[in-house]
Amino acid sequence: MPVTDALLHAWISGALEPPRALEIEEALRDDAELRARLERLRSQLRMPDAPSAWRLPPPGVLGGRLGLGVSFQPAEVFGGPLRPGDRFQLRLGSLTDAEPRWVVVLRKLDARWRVVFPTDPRDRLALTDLPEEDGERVLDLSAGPERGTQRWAVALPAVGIDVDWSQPDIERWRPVIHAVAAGEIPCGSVEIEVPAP
Amino acid sequence: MTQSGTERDLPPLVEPESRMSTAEWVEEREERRAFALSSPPAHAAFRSWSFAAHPALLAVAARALDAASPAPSGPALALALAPTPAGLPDTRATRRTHERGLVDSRALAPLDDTPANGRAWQVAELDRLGREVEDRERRSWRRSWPQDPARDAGAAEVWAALFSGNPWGLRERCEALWLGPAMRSFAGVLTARELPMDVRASVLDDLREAFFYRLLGDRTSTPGWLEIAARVVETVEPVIGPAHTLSSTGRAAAAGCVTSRAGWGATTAAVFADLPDREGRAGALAGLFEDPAVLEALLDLHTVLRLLDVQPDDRAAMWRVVTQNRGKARGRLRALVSREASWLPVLLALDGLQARTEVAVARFAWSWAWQEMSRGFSFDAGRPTTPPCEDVPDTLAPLADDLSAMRTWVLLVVLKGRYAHLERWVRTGGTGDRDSTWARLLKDLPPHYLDPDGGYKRVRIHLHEGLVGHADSLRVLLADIADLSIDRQLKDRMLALIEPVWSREIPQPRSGFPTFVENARDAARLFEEDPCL
Repeated sequence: MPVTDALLHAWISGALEPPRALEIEEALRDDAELRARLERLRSQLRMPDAPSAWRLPPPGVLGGRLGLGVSFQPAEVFGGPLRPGDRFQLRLGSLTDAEPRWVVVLRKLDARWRVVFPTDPRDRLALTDLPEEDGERVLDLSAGPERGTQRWAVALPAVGIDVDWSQPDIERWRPVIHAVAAGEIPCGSVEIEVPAP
Repeated sequence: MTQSGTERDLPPLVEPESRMSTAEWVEEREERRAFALSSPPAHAAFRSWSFAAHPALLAVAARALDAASPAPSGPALALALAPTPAGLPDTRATRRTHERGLVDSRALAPLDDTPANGRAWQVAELDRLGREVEDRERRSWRRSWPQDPARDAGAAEVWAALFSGNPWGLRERCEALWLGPAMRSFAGVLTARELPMDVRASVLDDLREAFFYRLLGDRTSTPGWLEIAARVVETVEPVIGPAHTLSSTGRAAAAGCVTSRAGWGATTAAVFADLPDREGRAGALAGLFEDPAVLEALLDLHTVLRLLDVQPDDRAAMWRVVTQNRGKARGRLRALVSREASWLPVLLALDGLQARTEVAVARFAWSWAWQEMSRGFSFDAGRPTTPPCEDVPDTLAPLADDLSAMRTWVLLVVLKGRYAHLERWVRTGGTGDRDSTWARLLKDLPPHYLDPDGGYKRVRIHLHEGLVGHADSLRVLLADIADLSIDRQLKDRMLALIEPVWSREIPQPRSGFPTFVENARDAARLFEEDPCL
């Protein structure tokens, strides 16, 4: 059996089952070159430095205990692919509880989630303020200026979960971040494509 | 990105009992050689296999051995039956390493190609393989697990929350305990595929968010936590551990699954020759499965019957028969175990629960990472890594024994660059897109493989177990195609490679050969790199 880099990585990760691990270890014992290769591969492994504080679900996954479905829909006035700045809609599925909620919109920029709305306490918007179509709430947004895939997310904190606007960004959102991680806030994300011209 | 903290020092896993001195190994080999050359009766020839303690199973194996007509090559005969040469270096190593030394020594005396020697070769090789299965497929799993009372208690609490269906409150603890091994497996796969650093960072960041959701699943398919739990009980022993968790319903499902599969159906029909119908055999088998060890014995018997049927004469091919059959059976068993969620006490009774879970998460995440790789890391929460064990309707007979057209079709799929589609289709019944090439490929399947209503359930059920085997049998050919240079002679050279194995039931491609080479290169790399394939 050829000992590929993938097999060595699997061994390093502890992902091999014992019979396969045994084969790798037999090979490692007999082969100094292989041991050197193993060390080289080990040194190439990298982990991200600091994770994003937010824990939002992958696109299409119903987020939180209540499970919020979020889907993307291009605004009907435009034909063809989405361009930077074009309007689009996120449609928020109905929830099973009647808790009054407000709307937080996030974008992933440079591998970090950032709240893009609201950025001022006066902008805080109740979920019920969004127009309703076919049982879904509709949120109008504009695509960012970057080409390629853009990640957007929506979280719906209960009105009792508040933020301290006097705090800097991440600290300000800490209560919401914690509640999202604990599944207490319905949330969801989408990917939208803004193709190159 | 910082360097990973994945430190494992040699020697990590080789248990001392897996190694033997040269003198011990020579003694074992000489005893086996004398035993095989003494023409033992068939029922005595399976002393190293777990089914030797079950007379009904042993009788089936004995009949198959008596019916076999092995024709080993000269080197294979000598490797098994020639006297052990003197002067081998004195080392302490695994049986396989000692054997490699024997091959390298090139000092084996040739043997006559007689029926008696052929039979002795068969007996010796089966005896050797029985010990190898015991050593590698069972004993190597039985290791001690480090215990850490605080972390083990934490793991137990998270497991209890998952089994109770209310895990959200323990998300943070769950991630603190188990996200690390998942990240390391993903990092390994991403690095092995040499993806750019920014892509690796982005995928690992997405994994942090997706991990818990993948554990929970999407309520329409097996949740990830149950798949991992099944792998945790595998750490006890890969067949008996999961088999212990099965309820009477689970045992009945396992028996139904076993009796309905083509190859396994033949094995169980031989064991229960007095029971003519499948339901009767399934009922009898479910009763036997009350002792989980019977499942292991039956798997050993099935493996032996496959070996006697296929008759590989090189040892690597023999071992592939063993690992493929065990791998398929274990995958189905995990799928059955993952259907039930009432066996928390079995899990909580395990020592070293956190260490076992870490290993289970790492293995699960390794398969998951390869799966995500083929789907652009979309992290869909509802895609089981362990394919579900689908029930086979009685109205659907298994595919016929002649599967050369199926193998050719799989080759065509690979050459057309649709292996990921095939793998996805087998798992889920769909491909998630409206790919016209895939639609045409489905139309290329011979009509006799299709269901009576023109559907593909039979094909999917067959490939559920058989795709790995087909892929494995195509490895060498795909590597040869991948080595072809793209020039004016390409078409002739590729046709020369594929025509000898191409079934006439599948339309042979007439154009697109340079693309086929590229696709073969991708597939060859995938088959080579994914150890779970």
